[in-house]
Amino acid sequence: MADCFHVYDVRPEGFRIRYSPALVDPPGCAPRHSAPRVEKFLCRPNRLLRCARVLGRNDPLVRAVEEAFAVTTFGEHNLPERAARGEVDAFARLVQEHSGLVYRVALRILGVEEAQDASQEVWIRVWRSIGNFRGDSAFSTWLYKVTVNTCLSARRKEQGMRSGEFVGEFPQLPVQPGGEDDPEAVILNRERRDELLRALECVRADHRAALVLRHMEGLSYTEVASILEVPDGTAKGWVSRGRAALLVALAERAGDSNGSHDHGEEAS
Amino acid sequence: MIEADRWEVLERIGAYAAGELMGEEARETESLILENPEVRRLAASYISMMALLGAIGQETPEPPEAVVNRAIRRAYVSAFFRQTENLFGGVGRAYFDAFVYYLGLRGGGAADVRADQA
Repeated sequence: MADCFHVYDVRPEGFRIRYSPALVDPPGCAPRHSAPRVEKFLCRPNRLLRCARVLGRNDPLVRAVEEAFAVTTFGEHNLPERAARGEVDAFARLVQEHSGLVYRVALRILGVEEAQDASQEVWIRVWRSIGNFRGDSAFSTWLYKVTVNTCLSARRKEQGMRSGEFVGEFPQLPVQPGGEDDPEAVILNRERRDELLRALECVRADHRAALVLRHMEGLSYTEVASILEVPDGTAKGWVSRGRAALLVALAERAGDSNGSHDHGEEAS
Repeated sequence: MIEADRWEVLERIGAYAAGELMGEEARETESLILENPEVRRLAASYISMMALLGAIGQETPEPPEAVVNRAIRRAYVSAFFRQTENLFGGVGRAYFDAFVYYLGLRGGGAADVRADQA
């Protein structure tokens, strides 16, 4: 994301931010910046972040400012560098600031039962190897890499799982009735959400990681490829296959649950 | 349509639903969707799934307090051991250097002085 935004000229009363032409807009959204331009925000980074987070935690602007200021909640700069020098206070602040990212990604790749242990393991690895972090990329990118590697090393044995196969017609999901305000629809949405997370476990681990980074974390393909340490084309392929495999798994589960529901009705 | 082709269509519709197809490829896929009701339902399923993925992506599950606390505690313990190791390593090195100096294994030690006196 550093290619898309560049934060510079940092002063107490504000800073300048440059939008570069490399900005990739989220799919389905109209381009926000058609040409490179420079803006100046006359407010402190923390205040800007609070405003920008209304757009969502993964908004590129939020991430650009977070990365430019290393860790903003505490108003501290260069925390990774200080942690690499052995300052435990700096490391503690990094943990507090980024534990959400680590836990969120572990939760989505591994599921709720293993996410906690994996998060612990990630922070042990970060503490041991933070000296290797050279600042060439954003700290969050490096942290994503450590997190994904830790999760995938727990999942190597699953490499042979579902990919490139489905039987019969194209998979379909049942149409959900009701609007967002409908209480029944809210419950159904929660059930669909849980179903999706369970179906995600059926997708091959590396494809699942790519899918999580792209569609849940909102990263660009370049970032996904960098984190997974594969070429861009491979990252795209993994996301594409993961997406298809997830739909197949989801449709099968929906079919199964409808079937069992029908049987239940018949039995009653 | 053979299985491999069907899987390719499945992936292509997914890419279309994610807004990743451009130009000719997007137009071809659109006409496929318009012509074939099964593919149309597939596209609708993808869009529904992507919306759900995006909604889950916006959730921010808080990590258990224990994870944060344990990671910080471990770092403090590890740093303590590192410092202790450095300290004892430093003291040990100093004793060793003194011993080497005493034996006269390095220039200017006590043995050299005695040899000079003799």
